[in-house]
Amino acid sequence: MLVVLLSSVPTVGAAPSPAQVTAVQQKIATAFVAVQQAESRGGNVAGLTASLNQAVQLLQQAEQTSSPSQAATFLAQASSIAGNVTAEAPAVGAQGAAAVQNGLIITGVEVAAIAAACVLVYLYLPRLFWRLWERTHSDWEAKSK
Amino acid sequence: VIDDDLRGVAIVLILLFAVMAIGIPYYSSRTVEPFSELGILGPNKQIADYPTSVATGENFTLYLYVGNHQGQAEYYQVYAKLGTQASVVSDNVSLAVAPLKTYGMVLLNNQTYLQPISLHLNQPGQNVRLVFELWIYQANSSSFVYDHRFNQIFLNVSSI
Repeated sequence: MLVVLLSSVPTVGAAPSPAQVTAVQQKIATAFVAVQQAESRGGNVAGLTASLNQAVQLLQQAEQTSSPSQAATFLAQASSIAGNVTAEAPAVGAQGAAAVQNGLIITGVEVAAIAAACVLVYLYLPRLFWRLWERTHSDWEAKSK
Repeated sequence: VIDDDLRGVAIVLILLFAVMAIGIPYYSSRTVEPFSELGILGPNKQIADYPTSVATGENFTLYLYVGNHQGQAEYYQVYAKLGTQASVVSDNVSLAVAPLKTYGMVLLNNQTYLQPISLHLNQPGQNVRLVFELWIYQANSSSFVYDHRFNQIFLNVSSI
């Protein structure tokens, strides 16, 4: 049995309708899924998540305020931000995919360069080593006992 | 003989370097064991000084901490619920009452959230259980699911 209540729960009649709140919640959830998809493609979603957090905050403010007009304003703003995030996410994902592809190309070039270095070292390092050894030991004299 | 030894050592060193150059950045960016964090801190942002007795209508402040280490961005909701000593809540079972207050946040991987939350209670009671549960949004079910994390504090709420 519950013995206490948080007084911050909005009173009946002052809060936005559940349908309105649910619609915005779903819009934010849709935006979040779009953000996750953009991130999975390699996109930098820091800006999108910051915007999404704004929408989440506005939704909470709409649920807590006792003013119906303020609640409607907050919900409209949250809905607008979530819509923008959903719209921008594919572009961020595409940028990420392009960056990932460039990264793969760079990695391929790095691997090829390292392989080439391996071959060069294998072929020329011993010769170089002995040449240097000869230079540094050119003053050595052979003695016989 | 020395030439062959030298070649062998050089090749091994270069191959080792190549493997590290490619492998370390790849593996360091992977999340081996994904998890989330939930914490309720006292008014001084510490795991201490939690209120134990409050009067009805008296504001008290706690800090809500959430950490995302899931390897990707996550959408969390923390539900504040009220129960009694007899209420059932565990890592597997959430408290079966409607949330009285909800805190939402979207966090990037390895991002944390720390915000003050101000509460006050209207009804008096002994050993009131204030439970905070962490829920996470799952795209495949299009809903929030209990993330097996909860914190709780017990309060005596006295009437003024």
